[in-house]
Amino acid sequence: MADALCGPSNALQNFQKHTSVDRTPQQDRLTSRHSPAQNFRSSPGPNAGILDPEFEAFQAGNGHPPPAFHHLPPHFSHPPPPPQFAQASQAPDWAADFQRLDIGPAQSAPIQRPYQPQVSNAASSWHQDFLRHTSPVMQAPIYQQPKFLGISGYDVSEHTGPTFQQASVFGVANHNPISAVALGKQRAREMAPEFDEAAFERAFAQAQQDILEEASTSIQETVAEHSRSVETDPIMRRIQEKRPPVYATIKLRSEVDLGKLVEAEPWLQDLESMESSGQLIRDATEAKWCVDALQKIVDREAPKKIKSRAEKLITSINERLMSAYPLLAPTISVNTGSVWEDLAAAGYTAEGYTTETPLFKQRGEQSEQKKEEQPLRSDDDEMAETAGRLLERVADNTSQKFQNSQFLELMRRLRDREVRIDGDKMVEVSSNQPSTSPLQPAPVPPPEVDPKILEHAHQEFGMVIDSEQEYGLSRSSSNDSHTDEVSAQFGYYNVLGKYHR
Amino acid sequence: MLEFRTQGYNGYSVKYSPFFDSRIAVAASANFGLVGNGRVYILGLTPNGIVVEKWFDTQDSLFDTTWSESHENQLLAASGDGSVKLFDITLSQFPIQSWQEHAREVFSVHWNLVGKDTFLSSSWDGTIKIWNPNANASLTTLPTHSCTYSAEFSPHSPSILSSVSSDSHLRVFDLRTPASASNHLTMNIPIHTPPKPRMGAAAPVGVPPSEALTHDWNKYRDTIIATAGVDRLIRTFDIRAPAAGPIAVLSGHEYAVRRITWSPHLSDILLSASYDMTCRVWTDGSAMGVGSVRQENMVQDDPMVYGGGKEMGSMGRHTEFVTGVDWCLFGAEGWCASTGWDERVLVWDCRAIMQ
Repeated sequence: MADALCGPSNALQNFQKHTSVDRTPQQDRLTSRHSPAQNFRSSPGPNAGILDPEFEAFQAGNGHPPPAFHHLPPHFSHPPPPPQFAQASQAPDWAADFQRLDIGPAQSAPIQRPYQPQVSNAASSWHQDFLRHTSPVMQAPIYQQPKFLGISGYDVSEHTGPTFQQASVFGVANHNPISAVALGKQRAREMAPEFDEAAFERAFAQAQQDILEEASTSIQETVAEHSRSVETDPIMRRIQEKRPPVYATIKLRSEVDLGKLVEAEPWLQDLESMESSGQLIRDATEAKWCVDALQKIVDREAPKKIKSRAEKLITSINERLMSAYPLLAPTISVNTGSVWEDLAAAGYTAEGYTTETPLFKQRGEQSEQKKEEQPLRSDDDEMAETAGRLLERVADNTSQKFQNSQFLELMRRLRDREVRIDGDKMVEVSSNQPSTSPLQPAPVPPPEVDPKILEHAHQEFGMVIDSEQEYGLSRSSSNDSHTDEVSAQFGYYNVLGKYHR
Repeated sequence: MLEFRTQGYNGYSVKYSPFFDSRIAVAASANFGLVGNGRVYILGLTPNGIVVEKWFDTQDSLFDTTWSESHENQLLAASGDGSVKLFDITLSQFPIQSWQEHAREVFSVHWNLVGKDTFLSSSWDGTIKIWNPNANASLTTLPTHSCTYSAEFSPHSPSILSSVSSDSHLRVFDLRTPASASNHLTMNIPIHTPPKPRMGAAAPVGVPPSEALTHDWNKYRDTIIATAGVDRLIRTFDIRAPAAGPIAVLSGHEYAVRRITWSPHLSDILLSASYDMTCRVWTDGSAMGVGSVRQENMVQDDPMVYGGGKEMGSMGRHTEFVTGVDWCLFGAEGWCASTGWDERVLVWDCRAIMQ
């Protein structure tokens, strides 16, 4: 009986109880010196507090999350739709874009692509496609971001240039930092925000605008050989530092979209040099993202020269990628989500990316069945969940002490699976990115590229998918993939390929 | 303010020796008590600050400690593996006795202050056990059917003890009553009972139960018990009127209150340690001249505080959750020690923080 009440199935559960904040009406009435609801009531009369429970209930029952983007400045919320983005045929086109994220068929022309475009079922394919790229993240350990500081061919000193425009241009400065901290990665996944293609396009439009503004303010700025101005937006700068390939691709795309071909070329050159030095594929996720973005450029009305170079680049990235990560190599963390997170932070998506769709729920059930088969895993999961809940409870506390608390930091790391409990020890979850290991003093030469590898790929990964349902099932099997490295690999490649049967 | 660092161990409980004014015991656990070892520190207060006199390592986390009332060199530790261990600080390394009966983590131990020949332990397995240090097995087991975070003997009677538990009830057991179906339980007070309706304040509405984490008997008024827990409030109850609800409600802590202790010197002062990383000193308003007008039919000046009690000061030096606090029994009133998850033991004079 006591077990049912106390029953901490893990030690953490008890801490959670201790820090929970009681928000019941009576307590609020008794302790309302701290309740903001009472602060503007100058003198509580004899009936003070009578309506409080109702008010609390009303608040509790009707708490709406603020609408997306309401914090953005108006010019950002309603930008003129850029003409080159065809809004009408968006959904299927967008889905097709995402399908192309798979490396196999990426370089083949859309018509030859063996996939069924699933235009008739645009909505579900949208979810499906999207899920495919978020689901591996769900249980992935948060891997260490590769450090791209001081890279050859990349001018770091640019970062230290004067900043003319403050962050407010991008509207990101108005982000509520507390909520971002409070929600954390896990919560953000549960929040089911809408992924917003329109916002993505808007962000590109914004990037365009940024460049225009930069151009106008860069009179005193001595324009370098390739008119590359100093990045003023801090979040873009962060991407620039952390993910130079992604940054270069973004820049490339916006230049191409603006029709500034001369400016676009240096970025393309950068990408090519990053590719040949192997730096681009150091993070498979980034490489994948770049391939996808380049494919978009190819698909659009780009000038022939750029187009052919981009196509060649895609092919060489794919070749290198597949040579660098052979099929049975240790797990690649295909962590598209973290790129998306960075982009979401830059305002490229409405509120991050969605994970909760009807299809996902269905998969959730399936993964629960999986859980029963893997009880070892669930302990860690539970721990992370409990830690996440505990953090939510204290999330509204912004005091210095709570921000610096080592215990809360430990909870954060437990939640994000950076540490786990092994026996009676806390163990760091090691990063499975071999290239980020600090033990490697000198940069390893990029691995050999097998020039014929894409031909195999075309046979093996370009299989026709019979039915949508089967497809969904196979993806969900890769949902829990991180329990074994082979299936994690499959999450990246097409598991239905002949090769794997 | 004196400071000692329990390097690598997060403090859970601190107790002054009842025999020496310069000796403190601290129960601490590695990894915030989640997993790993525990350690009991015996600290000495010297002119050169706090020095460690001895420590004992244990296999599992330690959550509480208490000094023996009958032997100046012995102390108990409550362990996460369900055992209660008795250490002798003149011996090295191992406990002289270990009792393994609880099925879950032991969360409190307390020595009988009057009888001095028994002690108790309470556990998350929903029981309180009474022990004799010379017996191999427990003398009595009192069920509470819910995680019992805190249990204590009355400082006024050798056979009365009390507990608070996660079901939001304060239980009082009298071992003199026959061991019938009630298992010595004589009183079961719901802590979440709202205070009596008063003039000039809104009628109390129902309060949902919340876990009670700590309680303490008043050292002077033998029927007064203070409780506190997850709902952030400290309440005092008079066990002569168990149905009357709390006689004082003290609010101020921002998170759950982890430990409270009444002053051994003043009948109205108590000290609390909380998950909001502070220690606070309170008066419950029972002393003359403290608090507001207590006349019947008079509207009190602060309707939010019940019973005229108030916070007298706050000590915010800890940088993590504060989990243990205890008063020094000797010398000038006001000296106390506190410990928390910031791996620190602080010895300080709470008169310095009182307004």
